[in-house]
Amino acid sequence: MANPVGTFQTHQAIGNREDLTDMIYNIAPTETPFMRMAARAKATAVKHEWQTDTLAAAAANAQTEGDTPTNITVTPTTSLFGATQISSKTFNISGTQQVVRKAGRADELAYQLVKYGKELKRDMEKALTGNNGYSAGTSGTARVTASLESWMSTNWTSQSSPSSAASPGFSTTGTVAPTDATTQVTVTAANVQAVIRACWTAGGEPDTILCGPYNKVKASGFAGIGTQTITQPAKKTGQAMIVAAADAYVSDFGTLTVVPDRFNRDRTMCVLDMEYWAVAYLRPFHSFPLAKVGDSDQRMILAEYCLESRNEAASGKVVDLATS
Amino acid sequence: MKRIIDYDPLSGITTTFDYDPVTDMTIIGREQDVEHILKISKALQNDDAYTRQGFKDDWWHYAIIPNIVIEKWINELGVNAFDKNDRKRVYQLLNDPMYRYLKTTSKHHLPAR
Repeated sequence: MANPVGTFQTHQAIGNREDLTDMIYNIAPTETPFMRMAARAKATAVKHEWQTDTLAAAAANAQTEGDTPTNITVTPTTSLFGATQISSKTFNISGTQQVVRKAGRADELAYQLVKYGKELKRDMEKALTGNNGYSAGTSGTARVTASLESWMSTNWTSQSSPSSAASPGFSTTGTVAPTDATTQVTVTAANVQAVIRACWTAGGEPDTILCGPYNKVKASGFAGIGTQTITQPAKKTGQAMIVAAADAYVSDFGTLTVVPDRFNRDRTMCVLDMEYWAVAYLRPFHSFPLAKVGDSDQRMILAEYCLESRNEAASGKVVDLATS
Repeated sequence: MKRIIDYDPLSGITTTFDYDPVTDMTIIGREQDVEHILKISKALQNDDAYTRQGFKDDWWHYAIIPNIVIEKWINELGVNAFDKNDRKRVYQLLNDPMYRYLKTTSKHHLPAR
């Protein structure tokens, strides 16, 4: 197979006996950047719970000599929770397909595992970075983990005016899905920098800006890359190419990477301190054969997971952005 | 036989699959045409006014790292450009002559950590 000039290649060799979780994580990691960036944690129940704690705001602290101290009122930690969501893909390989391929069964099984593992990972990225609210589920309704956008309630701004947007975040009944404004406006550097500042003030150290393809191009425009530069040479795929790369920036708030993610909502730009996000797995990626019902082999790949927000105030978002 | 699993028109990245029955090894290939990105990086690197404006706006554009290079660093060097803890190593790589063509500035920066 001939490759066009400028093609850069990388290959990942994976032994079939390698752990399936690692294998699926290693396939095309830049396609699902949030999953790749978030820490991996362990869940032990379908209602996954964790605790957060905060330091008191800095205050004047000067004591007299020989002072009799007054005890501080101890503030208990805050308990947060989420539901583990089950995502799966089921595929079927016919008996004929298994024998007609040269290398046979192992080849076909490996191909299907890679293909559907990749698809499953994309579904999960969409669920994790989207705007789903918490749902404990019932016998007839699936559990849903609260998404990235739903968790962030401290540092966010809607440029739409008047704004009908709301982002209540976590409550004792679970994390609530945000409400979108009815109009969408173009993102500005000032608003993004304001959210970065707000995250810093709240104690975070944002390192990543996650955005959809349209607003990735807009973010490139902050630094003055003209559209002409982006689309030059006049190639029909000009704009597409710029969204297949991460941009490194240096600012007063440290180094930031603008990462394109086609599975989060393009109308929201997330400013993230990735130290405080994790995906907790009740069941990591695994595949298993289903009962044989005919001349085919049915197999399922499945993962059960929950997004763990360890301190949503360290991150923020700019919402209601134009997407075209 | 190499098979194409996926071609993403948005990113221009092709994912291929190959299986070696002798070693029982699955090989996932990823290909991206980075010519256009490198042309943009080079143009910006030669534009001092662009860097000066970046300093002024407190939004200094340092590099454009194609997805395929990020994956190469993960697979071959164990350096994750998405991981804050690898940030210093990423900037070391960007400053290395081998990857300097990804930079969008002629100036030098290395984060403390």
